[in-house]
Amino acid sequence: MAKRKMSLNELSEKVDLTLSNLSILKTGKAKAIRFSTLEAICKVLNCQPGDILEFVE
Amino acid sequence: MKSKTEKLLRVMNILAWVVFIGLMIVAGSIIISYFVSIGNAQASKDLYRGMDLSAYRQHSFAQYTFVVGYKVILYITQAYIAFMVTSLLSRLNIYKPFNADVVKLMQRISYSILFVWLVAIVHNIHVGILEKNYGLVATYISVDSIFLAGVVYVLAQLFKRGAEIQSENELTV
Repeated sequence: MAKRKMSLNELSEKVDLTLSNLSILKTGKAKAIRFSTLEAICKVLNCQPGDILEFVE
Repeated sequence: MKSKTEKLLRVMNILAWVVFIGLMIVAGSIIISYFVSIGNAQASKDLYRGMDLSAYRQHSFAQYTFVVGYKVILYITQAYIAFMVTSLLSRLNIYKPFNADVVKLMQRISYSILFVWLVAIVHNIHVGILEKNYGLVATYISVDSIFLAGVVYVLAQLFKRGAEIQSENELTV
């Protein structure tokens, strides 16, 4: 988001996701993510799922 | 427009309040009659709507106090259950029915029903012994509530799992 110079509000509008849901994603509280949401975020940010997902032990 | 279920739950909530108030009145009446009967033995003939415990009063004041105590504890616990039902129904959100509060209340209701069952058992054993030894005619209290306690407990466990699933669903973006 920082690289694309995009605010949370802008992303929420483009991905069609509420700010509270985006915040859940950002803070790592989300228990699951739909493929459609992942696809939309990747499309808007022009990146791969691996760029926004990270495995942490 | 309210759904049929919502209307039904509202009616149930009102009914639970009526039951709660009714049981508190019964318990209060028995307690007042008991205190009156300390000075006036005649009062023990009709503690509440024909509840005649005068045989126990004549036999022993301590035994009479025990039997009255069981009944008061039973009515107060039942009133407490009715009160928990009212708070459960008022907290129940029909669109998000599974939450920690509802689970906690359901578990507490099942434990209270179990307590009612235990008190009823102790009461029945006590009056049974008095009947056997002194010939006092015993009136037994139904002990079928154990089944109900089990059913409510199982429902509480189902609601617990429901609450977990609902939380997972809410945290899926």
